Amino acid sequence: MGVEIFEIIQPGIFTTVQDLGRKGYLASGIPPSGAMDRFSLKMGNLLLKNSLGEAGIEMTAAGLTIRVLQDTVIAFTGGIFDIKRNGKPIPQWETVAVQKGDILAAGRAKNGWRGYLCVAGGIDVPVILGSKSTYTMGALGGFRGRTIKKGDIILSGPSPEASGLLQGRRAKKDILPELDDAKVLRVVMGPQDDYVAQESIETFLSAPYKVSPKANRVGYRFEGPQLKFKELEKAKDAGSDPSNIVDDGNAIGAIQIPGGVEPICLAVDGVSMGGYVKIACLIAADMDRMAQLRIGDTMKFESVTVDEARTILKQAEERVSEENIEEIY
Amino acid sequence: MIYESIRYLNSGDQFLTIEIGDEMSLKANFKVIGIDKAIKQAGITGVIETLPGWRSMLLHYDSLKIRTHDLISEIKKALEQFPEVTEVPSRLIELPVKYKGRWGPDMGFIAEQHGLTEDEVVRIHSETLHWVGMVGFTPGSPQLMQLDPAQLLSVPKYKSPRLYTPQGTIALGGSLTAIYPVVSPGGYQMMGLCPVPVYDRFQTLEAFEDSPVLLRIGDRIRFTPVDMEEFDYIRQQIWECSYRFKIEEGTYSL
Repeated sequence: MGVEIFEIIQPGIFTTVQDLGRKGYLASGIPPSGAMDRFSLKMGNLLLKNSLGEAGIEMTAAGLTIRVLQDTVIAFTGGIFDIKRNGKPIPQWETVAVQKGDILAAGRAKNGWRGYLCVAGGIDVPVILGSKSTYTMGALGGFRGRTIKKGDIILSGPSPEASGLLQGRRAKKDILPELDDAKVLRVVMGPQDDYVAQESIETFLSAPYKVSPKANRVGYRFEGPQLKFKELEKAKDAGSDPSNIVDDGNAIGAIQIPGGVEPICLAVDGVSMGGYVKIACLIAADMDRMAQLRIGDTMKFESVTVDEARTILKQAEERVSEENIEEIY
Repeated sequence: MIYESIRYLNSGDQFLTIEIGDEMSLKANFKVIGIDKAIKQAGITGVIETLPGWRSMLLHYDSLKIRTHDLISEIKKALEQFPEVTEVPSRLIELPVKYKGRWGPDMGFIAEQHGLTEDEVVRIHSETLHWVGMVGFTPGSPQLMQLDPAQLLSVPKYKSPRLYTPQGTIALGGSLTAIYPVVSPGGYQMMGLCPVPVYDRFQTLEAFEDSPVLLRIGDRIRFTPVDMEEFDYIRQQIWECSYRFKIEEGTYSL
């Protein structure tokens, strides 16, 4: 049984409970959900000696204010927020012991877009279909299937470590995400890049794109130049627009280009199928980068091979390691 | 058409699209169902899950457990040994629908497009069996193909999608019927409202014991027209969690 750990005073803009997501329900139209920036959630858990897939609280753009209901240890990771305990700044990417009655407040995101609040023992919500993650469109999982609201009481699970052993643990500086890296998102071309005119492939990979305000856990829209399609003989069951294909499954990270305008990169709550050309797919490791893009940011797409993507992912996974944590006292 | 050989397309570094053609047909759908079965039986290392669709399959894998080219050769090997599928498990599921009126505000348009009356559209749609060719977009939403209809119903979708579709709406877009399991935007023409869920996140009803989603690829659906009184009675049963779906186990052959 969990213990009451936080009372929500201000819920922030879009705050949800997330772990690493659920698997096995894509064929039912239920996406994985989970933390948008997996590295940040995993590091938060590692700092607190939780299992890496424990649930934390994901906040978006502007943070939340909470009252601590029990002495515990927390860690804030992700983008750079102004985080204060009882009005005094506290560090991120580092464990912080907090006492009953403390008020923790996260301000606006100064750099990056999503922050993670992890707690010793993890956030305790029911495991639904194998995961604690919230999928808001399906009102499924997490805290009552929805975003967190004012007055909610959040529970934490039992911590595997005595809180004294968790204090003073900090992530080494050189492994923290370079938030400016997010300005380049790496993609693997396809599955339908062969529908797109060659000069438009070049445009896609060289033009600056702007992150549209239509950016959330379902997908990110990017504003940029019009892309053109090859003149192909249409399949009879595809729609009438040159960007239409016969419906197929969407990968997480698939980049659809309806009408050739505003590429939409599907994120962790993305729709599982659709009838639009997917010019490319975001590599798995760079979902973390996309999660930290700010509305209005200018960015570019860069093409890599599947093997390169695999190496990048392997390196990202290896960074989540006890070796990259230092004891500061 | 169905391609002469299967296309293996990268969908990023964790997904593979296995494409067998570009047509929406039972033949293509059966091939995909066969591929899905073969891959599941082969138990290939690193395969996380599959999403079988109309004419292709999306396969989710762990690239740190298996390299893409090894995955593809494992799949090819599995398919070589697997016989062509001509019969698939197919449940016949009855779903009640309150057609027309404010529950199906686009029925007038649909009737007009076919030169039929609304009642004739209801008759054709409910006398036809509907094939579940793919499930998704929103949780548990099926895309349904008319099986040997007396007259194929087909209408253009909305030019600009509406922002709100009531939960349970049955709608026609092109010749496909969809059911909207959750409130969502939509572009299909609304025909009516189904009083029973196809997505039950609390898994309270008996039919949802194993999954919050009722339908799967290969199921067949019969829509049964109901009047307002029956509709209310069924809703009552849903609230009391006593509703029993009419589901007949079976198979279907090409």
